[in-house]
Amino acid sequence: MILLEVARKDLTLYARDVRFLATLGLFSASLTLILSMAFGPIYQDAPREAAATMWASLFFAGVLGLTRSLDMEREAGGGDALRMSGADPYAIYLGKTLANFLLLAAVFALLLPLTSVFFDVGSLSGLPRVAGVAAIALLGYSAWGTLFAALARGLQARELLLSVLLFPSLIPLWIGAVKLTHALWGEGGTASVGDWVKVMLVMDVLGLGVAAWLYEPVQEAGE
Amino acid sequence: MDARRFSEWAERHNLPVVRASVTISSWVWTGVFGVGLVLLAGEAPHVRNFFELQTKPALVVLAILCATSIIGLLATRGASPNARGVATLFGNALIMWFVGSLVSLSGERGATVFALLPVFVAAYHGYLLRMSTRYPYAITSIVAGIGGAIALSPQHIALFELITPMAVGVSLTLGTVALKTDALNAEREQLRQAVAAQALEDKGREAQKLSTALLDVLGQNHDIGNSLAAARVNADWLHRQTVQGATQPEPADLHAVILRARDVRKGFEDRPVLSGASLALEPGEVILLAGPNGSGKTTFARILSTLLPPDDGEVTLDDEPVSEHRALTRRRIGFTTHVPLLYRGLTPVENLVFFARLAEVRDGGLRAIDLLTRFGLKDAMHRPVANFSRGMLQRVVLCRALLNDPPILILDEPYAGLDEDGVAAVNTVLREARAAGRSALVIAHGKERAQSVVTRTVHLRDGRIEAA
Repeated sequence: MILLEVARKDLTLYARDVRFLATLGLFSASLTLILSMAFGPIYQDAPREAAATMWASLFFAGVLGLTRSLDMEREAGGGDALRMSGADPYAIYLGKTLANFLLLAAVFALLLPLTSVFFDVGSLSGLPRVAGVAAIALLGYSAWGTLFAALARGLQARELLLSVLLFPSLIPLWIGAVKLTHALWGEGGTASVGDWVKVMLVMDVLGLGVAAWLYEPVQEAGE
Repeated sequence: MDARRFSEWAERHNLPVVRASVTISSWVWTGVFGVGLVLLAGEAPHVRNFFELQTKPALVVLAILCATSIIGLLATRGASPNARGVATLFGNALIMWFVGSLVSLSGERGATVFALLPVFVAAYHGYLLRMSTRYPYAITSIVAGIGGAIALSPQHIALFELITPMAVGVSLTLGTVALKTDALNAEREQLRQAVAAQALEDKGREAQKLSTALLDVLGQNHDIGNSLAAARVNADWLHRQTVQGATQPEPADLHAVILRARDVRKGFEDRPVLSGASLALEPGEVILLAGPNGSGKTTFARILSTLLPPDDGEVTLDDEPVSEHRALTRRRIGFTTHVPLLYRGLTPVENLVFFARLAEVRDGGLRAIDLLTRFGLKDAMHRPVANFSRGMLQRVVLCRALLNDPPILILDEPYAGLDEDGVAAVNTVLREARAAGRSALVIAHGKERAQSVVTRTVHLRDGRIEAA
């Protein structure tokens, strides 16, 4: 299955790039630490600050992952080789999205305990719900991020452009993730939870849908 | 006495006392650090309160210590044993100094320092990514993790205080001994490899002399040499086909196809590169496309292979525009160009199997191994291609192009970086393609290497293709 082959290839390349993993892990952990120090030591609203810190760290660290994903296809012509394979471009896109999703999920698994400890928020019983929020948010992030990474591939200053393109598009996802996590950790403010879940799901579907329509021309024009 | 001389001396005398002295010196280090830390802990009256109030931060700091240690452990290779030993000793000392600073503080200020600790540790480990060792950090990590778990229970704080310096001490000792053992083993291995390499070089030189003499006997003709090498490659191939039952892929398309470019035009930023280039690649043809640098050969190849759209003109495959059947066209073309079109982090086998699965080649793994063996990469097929020489990389590139046995080959500079055996292998591939009714476009500066296999030569001049 092309989707799984592409995901496996990307994950193998991530796993073998120890410097990249070290940079990603240390960058995201340091960002969480620095923000926790900036907000602390006495927190005004620990759940809110913790949620904002965790998601900001995760979204910024995610750009590192997307940039690496982009570079992998550039450095030895891997992108051209994928095109020449004649494989379905959307399956390739889904494979890369899956790999990016799993990479971000690993970063989330690192940041969640850090945030929980630094801000003294969350509990084991609430973990499945937070993980559910993360799954929805990270799916959208990966879906849009993979598309924008492909779009930026052929451009100069692509890392800068990737951030410029990506972050404004992800605002609904970011706000939704923070609001929902805050609600879960803060034991309150659950009135709009359902609305934010819908917004994020719409963003996910939109990302995957737009890519189904746009990824092939973006891939063809990206070089 | 530097590490090398020390190791040579120890190796020469093989004295257990040398290793014993290393162990003893390690224990001295351990004792100094351990006692120092215990004293520091004992002088900190607020340490118990601090841990009772801050068990979670304590745990997370230790977890970060473990994580960064493991990262350091995974990322460090290849530094000299001496440098790694020094770095390790000072590294552990530094970490313990931080721990000592931590336990001598209390209250909010202590918490702030506690929070800063991972930053320093992370920075230090970042530096150590270049020079560190595996064992001490692995052991320190494990023990620090156990310490962290114990720290969760306030009643076991005293045990934690006791265990930590002991654990660091043990890790220092084991690490130092391991380092010195490593150093001795590394020296021995280097010596063995040097002797083996020398023997291999001597044999290689003899073989080279023999082959040169053989070529001289055969009339000092370059083509004969090529033909011999090609015949050898062919014989190997036939042997595998008949005796071992080597795999053949599902052909991309069995019937012969015609790839045709009509009046193709392409420019970049107002600079015309192709201005009406036309070429038909008929079944059984091997065309050499020659031309000076910058004449547009690669651009033309990319347009033919559908990677680049023309500004004007048309490319067709069996009279069907390739832009309308892009995926099908791509599976019928084996394409190589200046960049390898491979993933440098994967091995040749992994690369080929990946692309075989994408192109839905049956028995892709066997096909990959077969091709790599044919191109002389049997012994290197499980090494990442990032470490390959230009010539080896070029062979893998050719294997990728041949993976699904395509009816059309577009090879841009296929001889680049190849030795005589490699050139012969490429020419054999082209001969086989021609014999099977397939077609090939070979792009090269000179025609010497391809002369024996091409059916016609064309030139790209002023953006147009002309017969030679």
